[in-house]
Amino acid sequence: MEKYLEYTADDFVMDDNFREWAIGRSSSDVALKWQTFISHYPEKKSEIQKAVFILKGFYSIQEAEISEDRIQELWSRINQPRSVRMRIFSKVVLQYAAVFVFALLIGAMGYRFVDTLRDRQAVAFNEITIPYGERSVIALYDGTKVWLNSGTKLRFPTSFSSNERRIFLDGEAYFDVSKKIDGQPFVVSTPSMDIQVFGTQFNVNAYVDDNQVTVTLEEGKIVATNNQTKMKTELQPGDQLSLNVSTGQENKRIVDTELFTSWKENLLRFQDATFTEVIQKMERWYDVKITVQKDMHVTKLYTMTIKTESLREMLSLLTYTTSMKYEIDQNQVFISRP
Amino acid sequence: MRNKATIGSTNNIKLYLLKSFRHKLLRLLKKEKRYTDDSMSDVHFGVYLSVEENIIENEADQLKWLRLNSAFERLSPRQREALYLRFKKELEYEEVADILEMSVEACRNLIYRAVKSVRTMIEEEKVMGAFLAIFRIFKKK
Repeated sequence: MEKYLEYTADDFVMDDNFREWAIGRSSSDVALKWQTFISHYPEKKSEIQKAVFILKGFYSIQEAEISEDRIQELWSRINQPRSVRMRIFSKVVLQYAAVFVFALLIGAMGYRFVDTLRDRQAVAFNEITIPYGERSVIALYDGTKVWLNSGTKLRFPTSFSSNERRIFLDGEAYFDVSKKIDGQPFVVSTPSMDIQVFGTQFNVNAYVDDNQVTVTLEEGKIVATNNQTKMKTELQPGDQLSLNVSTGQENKRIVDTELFTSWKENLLRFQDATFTEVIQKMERWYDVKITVQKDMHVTKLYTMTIKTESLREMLSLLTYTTSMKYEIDQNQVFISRP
Repeated sequence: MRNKATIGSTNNIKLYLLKSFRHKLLRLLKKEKRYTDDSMSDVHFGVYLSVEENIIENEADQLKWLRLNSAFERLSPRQREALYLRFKKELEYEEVADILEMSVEACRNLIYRAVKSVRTMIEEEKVMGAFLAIFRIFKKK
């Protein structure tokens, strides 16, 4: 018993033997031991009383109460045959379905109403700007899905006019255009080129800063119109049309479209890309400003896929294949000769 | 449910039941998206202290009881759970540690710290004052 001389109330609470005694569990001779201990060391009495009080308190902990009704309800549910339970379940599902159908009806009615109003309204525009380093996907109200790459601006009317669905793009976007029954064409408008669509999937890369528009068709049919020459070019799936804005030169070739649309799956892919192209894409992808030493001329072509690599990982990957060194200073990257 | 064959035999039914009940409960809570991480921190651990005749014999004890109660309320859910398992369900530290999925050492510390803060709170006059004030308002109504 000597060790207990050093004990505080806390230690007593923690002690197994003491606890047994405090809640009246110990045999009579153990209980007698504790009583003699207290009478021998009265200075311990207050600590022991405190400990006993706490222990008794803890011993009176109760689980949160549950009503008799609830217990009955649970039992009846457990005893219920399974088929009956299934029927209740499907009834609930039906209730939800009813609400859903009702909401749809209201929505359809509202749509018809708005539709009649729409033609009379002046055209107002929404504009979406995706910050560098980010990508996004939106759905237009005609059901068209648009994936937007970093640094892209998309302007679209709050309601499409009845003869065409025209949107304005500065940047890169992948379109999955929903087909309209009445053949209302979808037009992606960029300063130098308009692309007319009839329900299809394609990618447009037209950053104003890049001086280049690239349209890649994955599925369906599109017609691209050069806004200067008014020349029309029809694209088949797998076709890629690029227009050099400053020279006005157009070039159509067949490509592996996946290379140009993979960004929407958060993959950054390059095939035979020049160093400048890689750097340009990286700037947008990671939202950094990359400065390359002036007299560095890399003539190599790059083919690679970047999935979840960080900027640092990406840069160190480059150092494996290119003789260069880099330095990161917050949003600035400096690339120079080693 | 796991395959019956993969579960070893147990000779500690109480521990087994408490553990599997807790597991099931947490899984259900997770399903309901009430909380998303593994800790019990956002889950209210539904236990409370009940008044028992044998503790409250006089007025002074009644005050102490109120203080103990408010102290218990102020513990973290995990601390309350540990105290419940240890002092109400009378499990060994090893068993409590097993259920709470922590080391025995950490478990002992958790309980010790809970006991200590309960004890200090009982001794604190301030807590009592505040609690008594509330208690009086309550009584007036």
